[in-house]
Amino acid sequence: MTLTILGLALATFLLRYLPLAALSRTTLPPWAEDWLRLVPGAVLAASLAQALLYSGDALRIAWDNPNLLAALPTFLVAWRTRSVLRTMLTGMACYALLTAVL
Amino acid sequence: MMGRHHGFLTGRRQPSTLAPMSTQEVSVFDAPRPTRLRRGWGGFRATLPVALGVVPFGVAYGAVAARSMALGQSQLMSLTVFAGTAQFIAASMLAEGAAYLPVLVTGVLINLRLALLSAALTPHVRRVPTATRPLLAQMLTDESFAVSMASFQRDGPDALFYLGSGLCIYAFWQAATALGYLFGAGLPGGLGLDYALPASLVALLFLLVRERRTAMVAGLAAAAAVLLRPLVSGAWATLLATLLVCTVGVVARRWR
Repeated sequence: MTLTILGLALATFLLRYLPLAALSRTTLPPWAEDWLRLVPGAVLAASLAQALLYSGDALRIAWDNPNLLAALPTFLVAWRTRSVLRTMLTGMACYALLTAVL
Repeated sequence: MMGRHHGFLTGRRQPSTLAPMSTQEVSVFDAPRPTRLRRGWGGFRATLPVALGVVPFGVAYGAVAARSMALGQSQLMSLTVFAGTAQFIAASMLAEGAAYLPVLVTGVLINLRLALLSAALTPHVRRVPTATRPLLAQMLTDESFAVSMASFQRDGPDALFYLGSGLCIYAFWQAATALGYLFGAGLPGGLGLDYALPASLVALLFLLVRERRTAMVAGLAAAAAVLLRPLVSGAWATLLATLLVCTVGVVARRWR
């Protein structure tokens, strides 16, 4: 467990440090930069889709799925405000309400 | 707020005894101590509202970490990894008994964006002493990067502002994750903490995805992950969907 943590820490540090240290001398080919530019959104969307649509190993696209239902106002607030704080408070409040009702 | 903010930054334009005006960026670490502190504090202050946004997520991480690791291990992860989404997903996977490799690969994949942010930061901090680069690197987060870039566009690059911003997120993250570990399980269930991860994913997605092509790629990645999920574990579904869809995105652009 501790080794896993330290391994992730080292890898994350290198990801943060190496471009900063090396980029003044070398540059990536354009296709690699383009590929890397697409990665963050794709990773987040892939994780999010699973968090909203799956509970455990089961696909759950239904109106009584609070994860999915609470996402609607959360998306709306994120789109309109682009505020991390407001988006999170909306999502958590709606989820709390829905789990109390459903 | 704006007026006082500019007050903090007026010191930057004054030439110090060590740095002439012509090499403006050299003065970043050579300025007199009170000026350096003011600039760092300016970054810290400007980041406070965003730092409040990471608190619920840090608490949620701490609560999940309490299910799978000791307090020292949870805090070690906050101190060394210092990356919210990767920590949360790693802790969730470890709580479900995941093996070393998927946890590491997924964490690295989630944190690949930090390499991009690091690359984007480089032109703004090129003149800082080499020895401070590891510290600048370790303080890199989505939040401090975004706040600093907004300030750099307004007032010019300032590594001390960036460091103050990073330290603000760092301090709030350490406190929030420790609180979450210690008291997360005792919090009433009605607070919606279970939703801190999905909600923060939505928030960061909308901060990151601002053009049509990245939005299409994100949508395809979501669909691919949902389709792959019955075949592999959640972490591998994310990994494979991302590799596949980003490659398709690059190839599609080249062929057009």
